[in-house]
Amino acid sequence: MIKKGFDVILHAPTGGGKTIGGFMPPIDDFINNNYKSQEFHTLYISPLKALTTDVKRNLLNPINDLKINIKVETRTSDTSTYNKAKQIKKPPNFLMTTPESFALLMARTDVVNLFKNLKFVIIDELHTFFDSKRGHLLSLNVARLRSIKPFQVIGLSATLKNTNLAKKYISNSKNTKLVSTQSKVAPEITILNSRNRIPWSGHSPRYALSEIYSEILKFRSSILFVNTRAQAEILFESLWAINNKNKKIAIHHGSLEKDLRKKVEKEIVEGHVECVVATSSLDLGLDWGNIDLVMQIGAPKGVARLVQRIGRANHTINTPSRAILVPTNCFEYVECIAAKKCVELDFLEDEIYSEGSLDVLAQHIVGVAISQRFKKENLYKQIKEAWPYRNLNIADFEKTLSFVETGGYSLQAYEEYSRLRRDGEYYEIRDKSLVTKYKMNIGTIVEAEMLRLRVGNRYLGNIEEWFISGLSAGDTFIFGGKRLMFEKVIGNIAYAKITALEHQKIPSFKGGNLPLSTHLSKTVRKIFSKRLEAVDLPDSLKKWSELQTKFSSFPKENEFLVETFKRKNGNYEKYYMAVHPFEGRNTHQTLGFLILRRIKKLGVQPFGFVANDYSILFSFSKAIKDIDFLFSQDILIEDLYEWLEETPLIKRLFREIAIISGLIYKNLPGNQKTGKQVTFNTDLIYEVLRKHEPHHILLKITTENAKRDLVDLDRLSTFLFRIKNKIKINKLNRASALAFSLLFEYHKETPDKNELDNFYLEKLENELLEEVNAL
Amino acid sequence: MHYKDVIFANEKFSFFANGELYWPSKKTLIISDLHFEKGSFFSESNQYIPPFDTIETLRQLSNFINNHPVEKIIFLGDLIHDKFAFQRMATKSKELFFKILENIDCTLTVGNHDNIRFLKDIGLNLTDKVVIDGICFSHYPSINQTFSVFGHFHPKVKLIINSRGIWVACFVLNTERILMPSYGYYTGGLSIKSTQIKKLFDAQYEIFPLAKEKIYKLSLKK
Repeated sequence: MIKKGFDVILHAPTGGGKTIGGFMPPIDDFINNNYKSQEFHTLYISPLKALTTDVKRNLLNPINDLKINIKVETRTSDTSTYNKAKQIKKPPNFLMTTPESFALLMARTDVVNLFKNLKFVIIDELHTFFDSKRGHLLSLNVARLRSIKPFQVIGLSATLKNTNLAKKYISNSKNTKLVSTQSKVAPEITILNSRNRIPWSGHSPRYALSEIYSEILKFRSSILFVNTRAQAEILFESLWAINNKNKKIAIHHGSLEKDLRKKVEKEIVEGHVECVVATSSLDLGLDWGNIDLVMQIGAPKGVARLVQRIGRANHTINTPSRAILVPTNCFEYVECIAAKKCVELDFLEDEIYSEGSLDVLAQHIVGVAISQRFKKENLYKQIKEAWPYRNLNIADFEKTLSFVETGGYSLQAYEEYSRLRRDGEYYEIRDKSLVTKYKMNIGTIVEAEMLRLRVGNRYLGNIEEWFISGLSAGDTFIFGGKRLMFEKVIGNIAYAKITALEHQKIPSFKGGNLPLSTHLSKTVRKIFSKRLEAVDLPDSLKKWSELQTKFSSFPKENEFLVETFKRKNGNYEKYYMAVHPFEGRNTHQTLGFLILRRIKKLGVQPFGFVANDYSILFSFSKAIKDIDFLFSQDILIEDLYEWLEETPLIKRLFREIAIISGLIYKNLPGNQKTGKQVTFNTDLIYEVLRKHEPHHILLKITTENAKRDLVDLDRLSTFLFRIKNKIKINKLNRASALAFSLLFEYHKETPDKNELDNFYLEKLENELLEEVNAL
Repeated sequence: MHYKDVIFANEKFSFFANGELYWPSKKTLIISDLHFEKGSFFSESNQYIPPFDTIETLRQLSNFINNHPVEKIIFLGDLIHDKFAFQRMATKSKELFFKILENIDCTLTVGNHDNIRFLKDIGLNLTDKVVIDGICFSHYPSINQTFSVFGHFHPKVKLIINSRGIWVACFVLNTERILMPSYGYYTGGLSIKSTQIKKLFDAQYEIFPLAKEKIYKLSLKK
C-alpha cells in the first residue's frame, strides 16, 4: 500500500515494533531508488523530544545491520545552533524532530529547496494531535509542505479508536489506508484488595501503602503511575519512609529539571532504578522493554489513558502486561471496576478532535510570511487543506490576517508598525526583526508562570509562580522528593534550602488532574445503577454500599439523584444538597457555579459548593423547595454565558491565547534577564478589550476555547438534556454514603494534602462513621 | 467612590481607591505616573496591545473631576510614556485631555519619561516641584524637604488571599512622606519591600492597598 503511494496509518500496540515498522517503507524506498543525495528524505515528527533520540537510537541498529548509508539526526530545541546550521548545509536523510522545530524549519526562506526531494513524513503518537493546538500547528505545516512538495504520510499510534478521524487528520483525501495489528493478549488487571478499610474520601493511597510496597518488592522493575505531581511527591516520600529493603525508588514528573528526568530515564533503562513514581510525564513513548509491573494509583480517569499506561509494562507482544489498580477512595474503587471492564472488553473512548484554533493560525501566518511572500487567496486555500481548518470561513481568516498585520482594532490600527507589508496582491514581512521574535516565541504550549527552583548551586526544576507567591520565607514544601525551606525569589529564580522540618506544603501543580472521561463515567453510572451487590466487593465497600441503599438509594441508569439533608454545624444548622451526575470535575465545577447563581435567585443564601469527578455538594442557609427549577436546561445555558465572562478562569485562557497568537511576546531578544517574561498584565488587556472592542478576534477565540475546554459545553448540555424529567429527589435525615465523601472535602476546603490534613480527614471520617453506627 | 482619610502635615487628605490623592481644603487633586500611550508604545516591537489605556485613564480622571470640586491638578510626573505619545494618541483621548487642561489649572512636575519638548504650549504648567504650605510635590522624593509627596516607583504590595499571593498597587504613608501609586492603566509596579522603597520608609509606616475599587489600610511596624 505504501509503495502505491497511499498515506498510511500504522496501528499497533506498544512493543509491536510499530516505530521501526513505520520506517521500513522509507528505508525500502531509500534502497530501491538508490537515494544518494544529501537531502531530506524522511521527516519523523514526535510529540516528545525524548522520543526523537530514542527512536534514532533504535533505528540505527537495523540501518547499521543492513549496512545502508542513511544519515539519521535529531533536531529539537536541544540541538545546538552549530548542528542546526550544519543540518541545513548538509541535510541528514532522516530527520527526527518535534512539531515546533518542524514549524521553525518551515519558516525558512529556503524551504522549497530544502524539501525538494522529501518522500515521507512520519507522525508518531498520532492520537495526541487530534485535539491539541500542537496538532493544529502540525497540520498547518504539513498542509503547507504538501503544497510545496507532495509526499506520503505515515501515522503511528498504539491507541486508536476512531481510525476514520486519524485518516482524515493525516490527509484530507479519501485514500488513506489503515494497517492494524492488535495484540490478542489481553492485559492482566487486578484491583488491589487491601486489608485496611478504603477511605470514603480523599486521594491518598496511604491505607494500602505497605501492600503497594510489598508488590514492588515482588517485581524486578515497576512504574507507579499517579494522577498529579502532588500525589507523586507524597507517595514517593511515604515509600521511602518504609523502604527497609532499600529498593531503588525514583520520582519522575514534568516539573523536574530536564537533567534530573533524563538521569532517571537512563537509570531505568540500565536497571539501576527498580521502581519509579511517575505522572503522565512517562505516559508516552520511550521503549524500555523491561518494566514488569505497572501500578495505577488513584482513579484511571479514562480507558485509553489506562491502556496507554498499562502498555508501559512488558513490551513484548505475546505475554500479557500486568497491572494493578489502587483506588484511593470508594468512588475510585467503582471507577476501577468500570475501567477494568472497559479494558477487558476493549471498549475505548473515541478520540476527540477540535476545530483549528485561530490563535495558532495567527502564529502560523507569521511563519508563512517569514518564509515566503503569499497571496491571500492561495494561503486561505492551503490552510483549508489542513483538516482541523477545513471549516474555516473567509471572514474569520481575514480577521485573523488583519490581527497579524496590525492588531485588528477597528478604530485605531497600528498601521505604522504593521508586521506585514502589501506589495500588490502579495503579503510579505515588513521588518526582519520579526524573524527573531517569531523564533523565540513559537509553540502552542503556554505554561503557568514558572519560577526555576534553585537549591544550593543546582536547579531542581520549575515551580508555579502562584504557589511560591503564597509562601513566606521559612515555609517548607516538598519538591522532587526533597524537603525544602523557602528562602527568597530573585528575578525568576526561587531559592530554597534542604530542611529536616516537617509539615510541608505540596505544590499542587494545576492541570495534572484530568477529569473523568465521558465514556468511563457512563460505565460507572451503569455499575451504580445495577446496584453494587452484583459486583464482588471488599468488605469495606460493601458497608459503604449498604449504607447508601439503607438511607438513600443508588441512582438508576438515566436517573439523576439529588439528596438533601441538614447537619448541625456548631450552634446552627446548615442545609446541604448533594447531586451525583458522575460527569467529571470540569462539568461539575461549571454546573456548581451555575446552580449557585440559581440558588441565590431563589432568595436562599448559599455558602458554597465542592465538586469532584462524581458529585457536587452545595450548602446553604435554608431549605430549597423548587429543586427542578435549579436544573432546568434553558435557563442554565443562558446563565452560563453570563458566568463565563466573569470567571477568572477565562482570563487565564485569554493569557494563553494572547501569547500563542502573538499579541504579546513571552520572550523578547535581550529580555530574558529581567525575570518576568510577560511584561503585560493580560487580565487588564482582556478587560479593556471587552469594553472597547467587544468583537475583537481574540475575544471570539477565547469564548470558543472556553466553551470547549473550560466548561465542556457539549457535555454539559448533553447532561442537562439527559436528566430532564428524570430528577429523583431523596430527602434525607442525614448525609448518605455518597454525599459523605464530599462532606469531607467540604471541610477540607483547600486541598492541602499534607499529613495534618490526612489526620484531620481520618478523624472526621471516624466521627461520621460513629454517627451512622449509632443509629 | 471608596476612600480613606489621612492626616498628613496637619492637613486632611483623602486616598481614593483608584489612586487619586485629594486635598479637600485646597480643592486640589494629585495623581502620578499616568504613562499615556504605554500600550501603543509597544507597537514598535510588533506587540499590538489594545490602544485603549489612555482613554481608560482619562475617563477615570474625568469621572473624579465631575464628582468632586477640583480647581487644581498636580500630575506628579511621567504623564506620557514616551515622546511620541501625543502623536499616537487617539483623537478622542486628546479631546478629553485638552478639555481638562482648558478648564482646570494643571501642573506637571516633570518625570523621567516626560519629554518637555512635546509637553510645552499645551496649557500645562511645567516645573520640577510644587510646594504648598510646606508640602513638596515632585516626581522623585524630595529628601531635604520635611514633607514630600512623590511618585516614580509605582509601589505595589502582595496580599495573600487563600494562600495565593496577589499584587496590588498601594499608597505608602509615614509622617513625612506619601508615595503615590501609578494612575496609568497598564503600568506595572515595584514591590514595597524593594530596597529603593524600603530606604525611604524605614521607620513606622502604613500602606493602603487598592483592590477591586476599594482601599484598605495596613499598618506595618518594624
